[in-house]
Amino acid sequence: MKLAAICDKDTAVGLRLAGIHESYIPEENPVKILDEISGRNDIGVVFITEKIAESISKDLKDFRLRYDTPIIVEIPDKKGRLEDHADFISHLIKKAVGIDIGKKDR
Amino acid sequence: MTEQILEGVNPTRMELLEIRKKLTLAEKGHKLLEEKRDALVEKFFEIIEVRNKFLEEVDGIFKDAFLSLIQAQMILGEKKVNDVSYLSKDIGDIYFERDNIMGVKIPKINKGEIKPPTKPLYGFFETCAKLDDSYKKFSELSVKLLELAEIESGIKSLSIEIEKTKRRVNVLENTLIPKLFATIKYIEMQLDEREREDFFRRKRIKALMEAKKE
Repeated sequence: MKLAAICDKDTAVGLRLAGIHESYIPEENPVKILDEISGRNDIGVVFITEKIAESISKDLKDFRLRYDTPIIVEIPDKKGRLEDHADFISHLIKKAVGIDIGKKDR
Repeated sequence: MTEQILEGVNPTRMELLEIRKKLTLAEKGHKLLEEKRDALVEKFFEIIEVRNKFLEEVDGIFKDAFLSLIQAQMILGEKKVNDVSYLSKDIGDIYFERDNIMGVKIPKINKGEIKPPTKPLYGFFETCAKLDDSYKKFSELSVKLLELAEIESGIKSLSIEIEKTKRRVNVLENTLIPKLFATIKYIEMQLDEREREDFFRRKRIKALMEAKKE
């Protein structure tokens, strides 16, 4: 299976250097790209920048609960992590254990 | 709150024995599930710790990598860097395998086909050292990102399983076991009542018979 990324232009350049050539750069609606990726079944892991993840957080959540693969991983973009962005995994942790753990102060 | 009893039970001795058996089973199941939940949570904490450590590492590398990338873009121009980025080798394919933690299936990524970073493919003539730094950092990152993906999907499966187990434990603890207790009590009371009735009836008949004799 392949690796893919949904990210902005600069991150795409970086990931290409890392050998991840399948990058989607959203122009209008990132949800469309998500649909496209779920339509292909040769993609194993999708890296998505936090900024885009935030903008489609609801669709992304549904997507993750529905499919086991591709695995979606949120990565920072060139400006670093977003300040108060609750990523999906922290959300899951909170739901399973009841408290927020290990969320470090950034 | 009134205690609810199981529906459709007849207050008979047979049924009582049956329900007592059910109660021991439910209690056993409850204990086992509780143990499973605790073990899962323990594992979960472990994996979270690993993930946090990893995240920090990945974030650090990302920061350095982007810094070098931006510097390279400043020196060479965005277009050149963009062109060069197409010259890197594709990382290769991955395969999913299944790993098992306490009966929870979590995906494991087989990185056998992943090619280790090689020397940059672009020519050094027209590029700069900053780009090399960036290339090195990003190559380092790709393997780490895969491991992060593996950990995160593990967290996802585990958390779903924990929730399921928690729900089962709660149902047993708060609904089924009290219901069984209440049913046992109800049947015992009914049986006692019947016995008293019987006893009284016998006494009464005896008294009547004696009255007839005289």
